[in-house]
Amino acid sequence: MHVKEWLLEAELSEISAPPAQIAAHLRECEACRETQRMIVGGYAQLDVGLTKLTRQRRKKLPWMLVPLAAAAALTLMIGRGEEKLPQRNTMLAQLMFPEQAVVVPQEGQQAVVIDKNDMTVVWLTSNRGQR
Amino acid sequence: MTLDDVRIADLLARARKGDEAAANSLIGGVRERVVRWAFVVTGDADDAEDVAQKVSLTLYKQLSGFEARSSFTTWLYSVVRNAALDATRSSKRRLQIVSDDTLPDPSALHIERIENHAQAELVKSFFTLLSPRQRELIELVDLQGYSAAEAAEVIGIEPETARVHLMRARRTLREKMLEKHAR
Repeated sequence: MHVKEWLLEAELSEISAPPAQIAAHLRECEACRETQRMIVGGYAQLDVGLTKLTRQRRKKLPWMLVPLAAAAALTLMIGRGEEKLPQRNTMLAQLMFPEQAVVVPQEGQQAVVIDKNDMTVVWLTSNRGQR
Repeated sequence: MTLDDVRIADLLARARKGDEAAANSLIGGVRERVVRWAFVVTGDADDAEDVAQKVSLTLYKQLSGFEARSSFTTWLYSVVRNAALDATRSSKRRLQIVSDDTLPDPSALHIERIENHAQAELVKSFFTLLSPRQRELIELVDLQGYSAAEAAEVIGIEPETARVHLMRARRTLREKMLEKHAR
């Protein structure tokens, strides 16, 4: 098999550190070295591109889903027992609505702030239930 | 924040003993990975976020009962994969598309978020030239470092089938990488 064909199917780790016979050819062949460089670089570009599209995205929740999601979080909280509510509620809310909170709740309250286009929604709950 | 496997094992052990802070750290720490896996399967950035939310809830419900018959990462991938496939089927029903080979809508990728042209083109090729299974194999093996056999187990296919899909996917993707660079 020609080295270029090998480069099209080989494990990426092997392309980065080729076996001796392939490495010897690469030392001699500039075109194959360029192919090697393009493939390794191409994967790096793909990885960075995928990361950009999936990191820290702001979810635009359909408006009707907000109370449904909050209710789901509350249902889960209640099912887990009152003592454990605050920590779990806050964490779960952060996971469900990865937005920046700008309101400090009063003692005994939890607050979730959701930015929705030009509107901000504040979802407050106390240890005894939702508000 | 992302977690390495050692940190995951530590948090998992504590979470299974009822340590809620550890459970929270674990679930929050794998979120980025969950979104990415879901995105690779669905090809839709918004669906991937929805899947991540569902998976977070699933983890909250099931983490304490997780039995280490398989690795946590393998189990997590199967949870994400099932949720992502459900989301894809749901989207197809909404769009009244019946073929499993239908490629994702390029607009759902939000490619415009990538300013670098070469990166954007490769991501677009990744989603428009490869099938969902091929994308999963490229992600798991070439980008995440799993062996083909491990990826086959995670996806639930025979190792030889995985290797065939992987070879085809690599050839398609790498030829595109060379083509892009040749311009």
